[in-house]
Amino acid sequence: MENKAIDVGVLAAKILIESGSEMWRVEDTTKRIIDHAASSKAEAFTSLTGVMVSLKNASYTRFIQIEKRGINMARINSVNHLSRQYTADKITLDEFENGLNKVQTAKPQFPIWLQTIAAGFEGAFFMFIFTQTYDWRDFPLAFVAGALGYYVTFFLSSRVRIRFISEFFGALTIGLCTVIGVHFHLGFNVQNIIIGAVMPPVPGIPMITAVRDIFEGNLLSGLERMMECLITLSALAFGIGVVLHYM
Amino acid sequence: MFDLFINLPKTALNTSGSIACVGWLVYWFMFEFGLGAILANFVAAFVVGSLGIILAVKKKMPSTMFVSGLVPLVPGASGYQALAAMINHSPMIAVQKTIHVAMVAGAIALGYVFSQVVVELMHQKRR
Repeated sequence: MENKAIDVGVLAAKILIESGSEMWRVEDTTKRIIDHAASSKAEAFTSLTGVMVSLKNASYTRFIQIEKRGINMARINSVNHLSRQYTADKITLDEFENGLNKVQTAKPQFPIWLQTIAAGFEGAFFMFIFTQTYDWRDFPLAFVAGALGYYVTFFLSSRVRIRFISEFFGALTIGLCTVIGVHFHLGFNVQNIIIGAVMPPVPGIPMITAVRDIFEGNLLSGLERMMECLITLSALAFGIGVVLHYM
Repeated sequence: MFDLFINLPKTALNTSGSIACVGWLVYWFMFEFGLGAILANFVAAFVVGSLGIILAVKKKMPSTMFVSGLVPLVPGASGYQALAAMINHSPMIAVQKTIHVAMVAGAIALGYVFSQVVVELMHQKRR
């Protein structure tokens, strides 16, 4: 029973970290799950690259490695929902494990073409928000650049193992798209369009999560996340910088 | 304001969008009344954070769901200007802009954390 509980707890922690949850929630969920089934208290050590969970008075320990991370709020929500149900004794441990496995293999809620279009709209509207010049002539180009940049980032990050390369090429695509479009008079203000279009791949939410982690005392994961965000940001900046420098 | 495509559950989309909208409006009005970018960002992040926590409790969802209201506040334009200044060989302006970005980002983070502190204190009082 305890063995099984600790397995399920670690699986929940893995899904939560892969979906970009804050560390406080990961630790809390894992401990609650294991404490509910086991007789002795659980202790958890969490970081962005691995989770270690151990029982205090029994010889059960698990370590799980986490290889890829992203943002997926729907997963966090369903894990949260499942663990609430479990601690309220509405579902058994087996049902809980099945539910977690289902969550892990579930397809993304929105298909990639919809995400790409949404990224285009995001880029185009962020152009208005940030620059506060309501120039509708730039809208189509910002839309195209944002969508293309997001798609390139997504495509590369799902196929290439090396991190941060996808963001670099995404930014490169955005920059090239904008400069070429402006050259053919499809858009007018290079700066505004780039500011808007580069927003979809910018890691805004991980950055906020990083600061939250640090303020809640999870220094290790906070710093890890902050570093990841900074390198991603520099990759984006390099991509744009290369285009601006040579065009 | 229309910044939600990172796989939120469908039931949370509307709520999250309206929170983002309110946060941006607060920022906009405070900025227009000449209260300065940093205070405006702080208060807007505070509003977004508090609304997020209140709604999270009400809908029984993790409060992380509603964080996306902070994304429009992030100083993207200043960051870009810093980068552009760096490329144009004017490091002084670049450093100036970078410090501005860092301060605004700090203000946003503080505002968000402050909202959590307030909620926690109120929660303790009630008990």
